[in-house]
Amino acid sequence: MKVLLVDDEIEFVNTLSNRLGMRGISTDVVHDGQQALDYVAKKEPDVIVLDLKMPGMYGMEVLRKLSKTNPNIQVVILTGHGTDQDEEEAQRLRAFDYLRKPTDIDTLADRIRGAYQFKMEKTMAAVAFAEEGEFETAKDIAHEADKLKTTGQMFKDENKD
Amino acid sequence: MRKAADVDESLDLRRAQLEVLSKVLGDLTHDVQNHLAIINESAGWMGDLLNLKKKKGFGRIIGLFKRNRGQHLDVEPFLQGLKPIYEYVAEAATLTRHLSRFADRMDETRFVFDANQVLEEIQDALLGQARERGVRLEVKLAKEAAMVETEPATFQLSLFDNVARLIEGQEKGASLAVETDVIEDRFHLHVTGPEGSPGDNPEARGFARETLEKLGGKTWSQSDDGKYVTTLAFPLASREE
Repeated sequence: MKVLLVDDEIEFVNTLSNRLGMRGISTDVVHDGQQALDYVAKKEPDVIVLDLKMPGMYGMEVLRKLSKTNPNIQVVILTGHGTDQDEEEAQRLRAFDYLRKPTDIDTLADRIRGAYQFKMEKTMAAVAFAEEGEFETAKDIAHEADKLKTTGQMFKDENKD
Repeated sequence: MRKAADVDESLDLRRAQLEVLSKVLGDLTHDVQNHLAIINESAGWMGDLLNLKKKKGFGRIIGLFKRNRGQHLDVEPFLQGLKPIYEYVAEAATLTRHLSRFADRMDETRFVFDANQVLEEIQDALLGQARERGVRLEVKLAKEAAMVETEPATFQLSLFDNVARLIEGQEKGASLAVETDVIEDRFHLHVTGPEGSPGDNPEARGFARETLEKLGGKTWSQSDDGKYVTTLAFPLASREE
């Protein structure tokens, strides 16, 4: 599993990387939106944990671009600001989940693993049908899998009051 | 029913000022949330390390723990010490989340929203106002949503202003109860306090009361079995099928 953390708060994201590493999730780290896109252009991660409010390119803009260029990358939003409109937009752009800082590390680790599993299942199912020549079914599976996300079932904020 | 488009033009300047306030508050809450996140992760990292040591067993420790040299370190106090950090972080995060939503509403373009949610978000500040004045404040919100249609920034400030002035009008040691309900297509906020306090005079709320009325709301007060109840009422948004 390849995971990229994107956050401009260096202290926060480095500690997060260490803690996820201790939970068996190794990560790479970048500190702004453009660095994230440059990274993706070279090596596509499976999951990106993405902050929203960053200098230069806002996280939502990164998500918007990725949804067009790399739709298979699963994105978990992890933000300290995040309006209701941001959450709706993230859902619309098919982000896997939307979490608010500070968040429980084990919750985040579970979401990352969930995002990876989701990606693998979707990919495997689609490939299996495509290999059988059933391209329409493959597309339907991918579309149905996406629907699960857009109904908001994946959007559970453990810190919600 | 009053529509958003009918909002008095004299509120436009105030709205512009509120937009600035929205940005300021938004930045502040974002910074606070990030600080909290750093504290949370740092504390969590300490906990992870201690848990790791606990699992592996602890031998000699040099440096800060010199007096424990040769003894196994009891990590339990460290783990216990982390608990309040997590608790206070969670509480502060809730406060700033409320503040963040308050800030967002200052710049909100959607004019239909839940009045109970507004109160949930401003109640921290109202409790603070009450604490400063030595007044006991209890807030009880109705469970169902009360969707109203009006200009959100001024509405939330007016709601806050009205209740804050009622708090200001109480004697030290007084008790106030704030309760909401929805009856006959209206959202009601009732503030019940002791009779005979200086805040009983509706004129004491002056501009706050006028603003609420300009937005389409009403306010009245009455005595009720030795208590004084002030009610703010606002029509619910019409439901279009």
